[in-house]
Amino acid sequence: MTEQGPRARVVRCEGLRKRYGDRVAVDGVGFAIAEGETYGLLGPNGAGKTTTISMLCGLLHPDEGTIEVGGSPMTTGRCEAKAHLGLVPQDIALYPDLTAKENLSFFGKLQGLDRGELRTRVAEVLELVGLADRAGDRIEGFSGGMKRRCNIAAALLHRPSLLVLDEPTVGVDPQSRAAILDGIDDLRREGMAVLYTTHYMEEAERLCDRIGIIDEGRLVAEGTQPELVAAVGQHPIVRLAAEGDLTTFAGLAADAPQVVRAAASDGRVEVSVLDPTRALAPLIESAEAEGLRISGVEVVQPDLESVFLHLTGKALRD
Amino acid sequence: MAGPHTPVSVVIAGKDLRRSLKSRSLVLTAVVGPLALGLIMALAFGGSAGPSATIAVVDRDGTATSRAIVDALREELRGGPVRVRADVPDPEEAVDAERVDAAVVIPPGWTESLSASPEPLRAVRNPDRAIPGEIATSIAGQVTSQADLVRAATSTAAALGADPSGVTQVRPVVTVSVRDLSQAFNAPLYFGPLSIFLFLAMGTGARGLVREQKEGTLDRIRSTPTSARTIVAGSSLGVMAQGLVASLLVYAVSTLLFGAEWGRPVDVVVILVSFVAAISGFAAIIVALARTEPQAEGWNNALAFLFGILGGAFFGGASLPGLLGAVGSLTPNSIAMRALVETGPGGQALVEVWPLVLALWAMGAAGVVLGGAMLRRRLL
Amino acid sequence: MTVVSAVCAVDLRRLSRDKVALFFLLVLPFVLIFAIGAAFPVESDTVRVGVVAGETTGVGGALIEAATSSKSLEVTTYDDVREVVRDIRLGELDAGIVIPEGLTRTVEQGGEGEVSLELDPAQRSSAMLRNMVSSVLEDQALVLTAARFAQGRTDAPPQEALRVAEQQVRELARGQVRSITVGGGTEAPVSGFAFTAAAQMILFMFINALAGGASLVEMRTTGVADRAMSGPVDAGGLIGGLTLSRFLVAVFQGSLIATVASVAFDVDWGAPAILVSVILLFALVSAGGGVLIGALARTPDQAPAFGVPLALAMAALGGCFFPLAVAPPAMQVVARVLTPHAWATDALVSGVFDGATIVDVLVNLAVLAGFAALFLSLGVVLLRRRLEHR
Repeated sequence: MTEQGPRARVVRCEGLRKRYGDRVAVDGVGFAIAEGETYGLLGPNGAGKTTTISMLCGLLHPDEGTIEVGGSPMTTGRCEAKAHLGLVPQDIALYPDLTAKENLSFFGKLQGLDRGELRTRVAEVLELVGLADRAGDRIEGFSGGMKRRCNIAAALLHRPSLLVLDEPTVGVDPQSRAAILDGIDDLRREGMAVLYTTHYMEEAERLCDRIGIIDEGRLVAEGTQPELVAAVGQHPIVRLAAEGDLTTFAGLAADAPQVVRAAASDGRVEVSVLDPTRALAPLIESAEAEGLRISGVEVVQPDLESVFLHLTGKALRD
Repeated sequence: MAGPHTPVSVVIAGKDLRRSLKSRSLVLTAVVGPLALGLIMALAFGGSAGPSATIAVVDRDGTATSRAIVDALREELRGGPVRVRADVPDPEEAVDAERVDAAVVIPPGWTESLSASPEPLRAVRNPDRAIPGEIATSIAGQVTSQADLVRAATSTAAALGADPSGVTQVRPVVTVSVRDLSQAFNAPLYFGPLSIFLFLAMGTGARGLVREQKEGTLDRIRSTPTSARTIVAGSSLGVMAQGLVASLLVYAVSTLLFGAEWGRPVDVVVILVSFVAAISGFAAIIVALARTEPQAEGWNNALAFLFGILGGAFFGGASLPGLLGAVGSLTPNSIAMRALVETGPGGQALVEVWPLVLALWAMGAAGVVLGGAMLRRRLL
Repeated sequence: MTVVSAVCAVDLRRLSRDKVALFFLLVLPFVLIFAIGAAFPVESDTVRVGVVAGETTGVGGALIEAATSSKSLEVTTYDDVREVVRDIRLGELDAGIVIPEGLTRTVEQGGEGEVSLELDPAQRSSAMLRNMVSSVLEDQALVLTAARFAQGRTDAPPQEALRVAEQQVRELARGQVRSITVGGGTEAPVSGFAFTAAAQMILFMFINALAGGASLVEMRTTGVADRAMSGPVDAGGLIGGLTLSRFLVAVFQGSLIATVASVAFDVDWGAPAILVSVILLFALVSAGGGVLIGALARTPDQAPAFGVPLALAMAALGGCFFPLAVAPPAMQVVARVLTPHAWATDALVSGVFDGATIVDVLVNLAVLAGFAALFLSLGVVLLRRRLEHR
């Protein structure tokens, strides 16, 4: 993933602060996203995700802080920075009474595409989201998934260097969701930077290279998934299902290298390890040496859900 | 439609116009509505063909004088919109059964009675045929006047010592001819309802930005390199475009299909454009001042009807007397109506009514600029 | 029944919080009644006449003198006929008299002078105006004609002929026209508050019911109906409640206009039975119209967007803007076929102006009941289909 070496920063924001009356909605948020990188912004409802995104996209003027997209400062006015940006709002921000093609043409014109370019890009983007055969149909006749796909398509027309997706898969059937996630993967491979907010942990885990966890307006943690997990002291677990004297084995295993702790319960032993790839073989070896009959081995990576819970004391989907 | 470098405000206006045409409510409200109302009024007041009626003229007197009168009437009205029938034996029954619209009856002994106290002529009328009834009364009145003329002339001549016996016809020195002004100009019948419905439709257009904010499309527009000024300008332009399309359609259809008379086309178009501009201003201010979209809709519709009533939309463009009229004359509806009337057939040149046109544009500009600025601060 | 009354109560409560609906219900009808009542003169009013004098002496002078001294005319002098035309169109004048230049010369040379009377029938009751203005002019023309006729037959000097003619005309027992109205009743006058109040009552009962169709569409499209029907409520109960609330609002609207017109504008409605039955039946018609548009419109906005122009057009056709009797016969037929308004205003007007009793308007009431049945059944069938099969 880092084999091309350091990549250009597409977006950089620092010290973002936004206050509504007495309430501080965003308090000193800052992050950067490189090209080809997908950055996930996770947080419970009301954490400040949408406010952050609104400032980043120039919809909202920050009280403090700086934002730079594509090397240009972002303001709420008409600015160069916005040309680098494609926003996929959380709502289906399309005109239901216009056709898919009419919608895309309109937003393409606002992005300054000229006539010829517009025609080819609309066709390409519709093809990309699998709606080429429905180009002439009104949005209001689309299924939820088709609307979502078209909602994304409208942000891609001008080949933005940063794609901002605000909960793009809410209310989408599994098939469409898979197609959307695959599509985002493809875009990232082409070098697009992606800022992604979601409630769905598995989407963040699957898509995001780096994740920022935001709570009560503050960025409480940031990093790759393993980094986050490590930072909050969560470790992978090797789970052995076995018969024999499990308690004794657990005591032995707890002292082994790489092992943080071990406990026996109900026909299995759970061993927290630093690095499962290095801990697994010695563990199995010693278990066999202790005469345990192993019927199953499972390595469980601690997930973002548990990280999130640990950091914020809240479940993500409240 | 748009060239490679169409200004973005025009792109936004075009999108709004396209949506409003697609939804058909613009056409139904602001085009079909005024056309239907205007046509109904124009037909009711006779239109350009004038009222038509079949009038029975029944001679129960049977003298040479009465026969001459009936013949003269038939001759005079031949080929006109009023048909005269002299072959109706029972006019009361015929009018009641609506075989004729009304009747004039010369009663028995009428000629005889002229020398002393004249027997009244009868006008037989059906309450459902008010206009033919008026025509019959008017014909009977003409006959009576002619008889009075003969009687006044002969008695004056006799008083001065002449013998005027045998005179049955006296040519009047002065006649009164009625000129129906509505035939040369009936724009108010169409413009009245148009002014109300246009306000309703353009108010809907003006609330577009607030709706787009709710629906999320405004955020998407704002995430593109489009300035707030351009967005508001595009939206205002779209509102004007919708008003313009609707009013020009009403003008064109009423003129071409219904034979309406508005005045010189260039003047009419300039006045309609100016009126549309003024209404854009009001619609923009309303949207900017209202806290919610339903509130804006309510204010807009209430004002549309109030302006319409005060501006004379319900009474052929006539202003109201007194204080109501003074207030009404300040409405854009009344100003535009006045401009249409002033420049109507036989009226002044457009340049002579520049203060009216300027007033409409001033209302429009003030509203759009102020309302636009307020809306920009609120939404963008 | 509890379902019907519950739905009705909710609908009425929502209406009572809708300030704009209340404005259209409580304020606008009276603004319009007052404005129209003020805009149209009654027969006792003087007629505002603009005179363009091509000559101020001789024949023309005599005609102007006659007009100015007439109690029924209020004369303003103009220089340009175009200004007279403009002011008639703007409602600042009721009529114009144009006396051509050289009228006296024409008459002296034995010709027939022509005075033009300018009228706009779309603005005022032109028949009435024409009679009032013409009679003033024709009286004077009568004197001039008699004088010239006598001059042609005697050698009396012009002044003498004129003096004798004036005397003869004064003493002349004038011919009369007697109107005989067949088909019962007398003709309704075309002005004053009474006709306006009756017409606006019908107009507003219907227009507000159609605009109120929006609340039906809302209930249909926002899922409130689905929620209600997921409970032990069938479409019938829901539709019944909504229809009932439309009906009650229309009855309220009609009664309010009737009361205010009677108290504030001194309108005598005639037989109470006619007034009450027209209000009740037309309220049913209006409720049916509201339900029908509520079933037909796709979005809540469409109900007023289509309903208001439709209601205004039906009102215009149905004689709410001008007495239907002035319209051509074909249009009256169309109005009676297409609009319940024509039957309702007709019944009210007969009660107000002709002293009709309820027996005289039974046909009107039956037709109104027919319209009500048609609109209601069509509306209910369509709405039920919309609610149950989607």
